[in-house]
Amino acid sequence: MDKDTLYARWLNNELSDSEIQELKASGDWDILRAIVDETDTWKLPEVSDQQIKSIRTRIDRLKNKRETKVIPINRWTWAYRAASVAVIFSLVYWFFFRQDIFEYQNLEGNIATIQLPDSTEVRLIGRSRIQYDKKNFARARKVKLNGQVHLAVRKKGEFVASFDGGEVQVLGTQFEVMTGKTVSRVKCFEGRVKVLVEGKPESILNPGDGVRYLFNETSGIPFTFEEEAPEWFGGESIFNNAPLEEVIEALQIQYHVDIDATNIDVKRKYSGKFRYDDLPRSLEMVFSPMGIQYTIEGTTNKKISLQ
Amino acid sequence: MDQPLPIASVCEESVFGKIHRDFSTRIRNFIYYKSGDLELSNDLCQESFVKLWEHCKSVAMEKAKSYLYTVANRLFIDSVRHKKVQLNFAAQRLTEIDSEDPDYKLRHDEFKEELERAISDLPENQREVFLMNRIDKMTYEEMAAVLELSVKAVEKRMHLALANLKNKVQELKIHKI
Repeated sequence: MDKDTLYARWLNNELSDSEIQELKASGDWDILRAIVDETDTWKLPEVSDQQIKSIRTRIDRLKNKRETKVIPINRWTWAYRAASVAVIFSLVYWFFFRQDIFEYQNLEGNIATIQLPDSTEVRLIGRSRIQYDKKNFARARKVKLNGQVHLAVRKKGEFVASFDGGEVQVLGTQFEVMTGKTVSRVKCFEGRVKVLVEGKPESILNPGDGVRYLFNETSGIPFTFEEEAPEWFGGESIFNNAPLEEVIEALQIQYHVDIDATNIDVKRKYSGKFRYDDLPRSLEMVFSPMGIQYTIEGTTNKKISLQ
Repeated sequence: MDQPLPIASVCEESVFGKIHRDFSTRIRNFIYYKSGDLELSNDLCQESFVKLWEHCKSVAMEKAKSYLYTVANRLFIDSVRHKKVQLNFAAQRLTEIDSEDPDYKLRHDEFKEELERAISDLPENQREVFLMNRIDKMTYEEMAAVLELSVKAVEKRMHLALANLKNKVQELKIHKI
């Protein structure tokens, strides 16, 4: 019988006679008994009637509010291929071969959570996007990512998250991908993932491991981190000695801005943080300590140049 | 290809109300086991049910319970993951004999306090399983279902929790009441 569930089975009276003898002989029986007898007298108060009533008020208010949640905004069925061929072929194609692409595009200044058909939880911050083939997802779990996305993959089995120029093969459960024009970064929070980027050696990440792929570097740069979930779940993006180009990429994703960094040294390291919902303050927090001037061009506040 | 509408839907107020009455204490406790903060737990418990209401269309009735646990866990992570945790419980004394022997009561109270501290020091995943079993009286199968683990995984966590508590108690030599 398994030693690593011994006490759990003891609690359920599922031990064999020999196991019971052993436990009593070791003296552990009495201690376990004392612990359980004590904790069995413990109580927590029931949730109050007032709480139960107040949920009614909350949901009434929600019923009256207009729906302003961000919901999947783009869904199309891909079946326009066989246009020039006979109608019959198009019909056959339509019924058997079409994909059913689901796409969710998140907006800047926003954090959203969606669930995939296998209960995998996906969180997106800022201008990020996820796409997958709804029809075939059960057979082959593949998603396409853009921006800054965290995934908590449910259920064992193959799961591939691809991004521009690379992919993450999930061997475990929780990881984050940040990917933009020149920077791709993957952090593994739980389980194990393998990161493959075109033309560069693969990386295997365990919890606490990350790898950053920067433009012009021939291989991924590994790093480690402490947090157990993306720091931006709490609204702040935090950087510890990260190359400035990575910080700039995060700003671009989270605020949907275009930052022209040609005049500065993007390899400089930055330690600090910024929030996802306050652009002026964030620019201040990143660039002022680095002694970099920033100018917001135009009236749309979308283009920023650095000096 | 679409599934027919379910007969009873979480979006129906009577159904939702029943789910709320049946599970709010457990969900509140679940967060408390993780955080040791009763006020936070009450707040996040409310938020979890609000989220269930907001997503009622996409949650099947059978899935509502595990959805609530998942949402509660996520809300907890969003708020205070690394604060120091200390849990306290009200103990229901089965007899009043202890009031006649102040020494017994003192040792008993000391044991309770040390146990509370030891439980608070357990890794979160062991702590929550132990308390859900002892305080909420959930079976290993129930826990496996709502936490999305195998029964074996729940048993392992339970065993580790008890092993850790036993070691702590042995260390302190305080179980001999």
